[in-house]
Amino acid sequence: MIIADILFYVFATILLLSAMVVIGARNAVHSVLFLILAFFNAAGIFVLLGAEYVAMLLVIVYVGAVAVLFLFVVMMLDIAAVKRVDLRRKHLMAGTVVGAALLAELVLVFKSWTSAEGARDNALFQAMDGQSIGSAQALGNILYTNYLYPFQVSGLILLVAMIGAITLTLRLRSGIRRQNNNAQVTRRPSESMGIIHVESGKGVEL
Amino acid sequence: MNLALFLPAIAEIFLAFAALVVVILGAFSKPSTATGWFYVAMLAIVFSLILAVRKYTGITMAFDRMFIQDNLALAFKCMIGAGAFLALALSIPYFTRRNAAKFEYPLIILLATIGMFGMVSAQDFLGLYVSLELQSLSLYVLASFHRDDRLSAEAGLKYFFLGALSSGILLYGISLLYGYTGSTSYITIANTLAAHEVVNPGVIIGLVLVLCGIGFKVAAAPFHMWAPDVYQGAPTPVTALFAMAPKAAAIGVICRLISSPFAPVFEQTQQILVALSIISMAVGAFAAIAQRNVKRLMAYSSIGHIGFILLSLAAGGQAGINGAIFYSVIYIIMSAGSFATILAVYDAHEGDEQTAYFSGLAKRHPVFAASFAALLLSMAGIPPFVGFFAKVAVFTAAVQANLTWLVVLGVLFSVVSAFYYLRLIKIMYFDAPFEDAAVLTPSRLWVFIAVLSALLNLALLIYPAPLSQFASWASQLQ
Repeated sequence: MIIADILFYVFATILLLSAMVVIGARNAVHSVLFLILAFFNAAGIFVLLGAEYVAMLLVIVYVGAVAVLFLFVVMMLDIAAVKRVDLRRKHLMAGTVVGAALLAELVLVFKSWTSAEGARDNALFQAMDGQSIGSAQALGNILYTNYLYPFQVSGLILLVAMIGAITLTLRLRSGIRRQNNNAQVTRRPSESMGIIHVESGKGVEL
Repeated sequence: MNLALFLPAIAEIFLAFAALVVVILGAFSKPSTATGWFYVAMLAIVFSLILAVRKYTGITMAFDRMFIQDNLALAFKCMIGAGAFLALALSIPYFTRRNAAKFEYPLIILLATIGMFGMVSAQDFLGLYVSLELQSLSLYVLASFHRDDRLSAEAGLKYFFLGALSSGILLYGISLLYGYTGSTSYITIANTLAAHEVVNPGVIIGLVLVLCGIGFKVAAAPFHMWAPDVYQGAPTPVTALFAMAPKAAAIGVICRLISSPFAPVFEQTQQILVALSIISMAVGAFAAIAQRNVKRLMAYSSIGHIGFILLSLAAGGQAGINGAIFYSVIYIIMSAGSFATILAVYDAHEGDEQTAYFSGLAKRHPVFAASFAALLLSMAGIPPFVGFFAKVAVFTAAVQANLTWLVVLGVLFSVVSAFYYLRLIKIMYFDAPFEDAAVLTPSRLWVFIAVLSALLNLALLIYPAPLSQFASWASQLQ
């Protein structure tokens, strides 16, 4: 068990530090790279909790797809061209006060934290014990039954994201040549070809 | 499978199917037919409400007790549906005049409506969160719908960042409540909290964070920073939607929260609501005085009105919810008419909604001037109009809950806010028309909505029984 504890603290420390670098780094590419590191460590914590399916999902979807896409986008931006405005000093006071107040509250909560009696029994589904079924199966069992409603609404959220992205970026420019398959296929030789007899020395008008 | 199990959510399911049909058919339709989808969306909203009302059989739950259909949910769905319907109606002339109608616009409003319906029907924090995100994401897109306009893009971006922040705060609060009670279900949380005499500080912080997150969504001060910029930058019909539907949905969520999961800790909830209410009323009264842009003015005015609604909710219980619903319905009616006028007056001056453009409206278009004046007097809460009775309903609930000092403050703030409403009336009636004032050529639909809402203002004054019956029916929770 002690190894698991040590691993947890290693993962958690790296996770927190890299999260801080993500928002603090001056170079956006560094931010994305540290975001990937943060995802990996979060996946490590999920493995320690026995949720290996969520861990793999995090690595495959977030690291493999989302973060890499971010990286592409960030690399394509011309970062040097964007003039940096250092807001840190300007908002330092307000940020420190609000942050300190929140931190104090959380410390208070942490010091007196207890769960209600019977909170464990309130949970609809107990955490995976890693014995009977795999976590992917356990997730599948509840995702399409008890959690059908949030699952379907999440689907609609993705639909909104897709429609929104298209609405805000798609431009129908006029004056550009578009491929018209129908016109291409139905074109006849007689429409596009003709034989013109050119008399010598006169040229031809098209 | 027993399909009757899904019956409580029939409005949402119908709207989801309607939205999917619009996606598919809209993508293949000609851009010139885009206005037709506005009417389709309006019909879909009306039909979904008819279905919901006709299939309503008392309190029913669905989706493993994550979804509830009761009087409160149904009443708020009617209000949200009316708000979305009116916003769509206001948009039709706006987009056809600019030749900028797109089928995505009514589609996104439909999807936002599903989210808002889900919010008021949520019986579980997970269901609340996903519905809230569905609504918010749709609204972010709508705010920046004029993507080439700098102000509109800024509005969308600002709304998105602050909305994401508020969702984070809300989730943190939910996680603390979940940590304490072991459940995200409203019923289980209520039972667990009721079973423990001493309230754990973690629960209180969780409660504060959840209410702060919802406060962002209703633009209650001190979480209102986004509202003036977003109201100003978003296309005007979208601003009208923001003022009507999402406000009602978030008020519905607060009604649900204080009557179910937070009922055992109402004392603590009340303190937060009182604080939000006072600050909102103050900001709504004082910050609007210096405003010269009408859309920003409407933003501050809506913050003030939210303050009054929160005052009613702070009173708690059935009376408080009753007052909040009464006020919200009247607020939706007043907003619809006001935004119809604003749309007509600024049809030619979009992006620069100076109050000066209202000057001489009494001569340029007497019908608009008269209806808008009636609505402004109603918003100010001046006696012969129904806005006065809305405030009376709210104040009565607060007095019954021994919050008399809060009522005194509310009356004072409402006197201050009367100043800028009256100033607008003065500009319309006593200022000479500004130079090269164009002749107003408003769409008939705008005139109709403005006059209808002004007439409703008077009709509800003479015959308020249906509205008060609606409010008291909706606030019956058992």
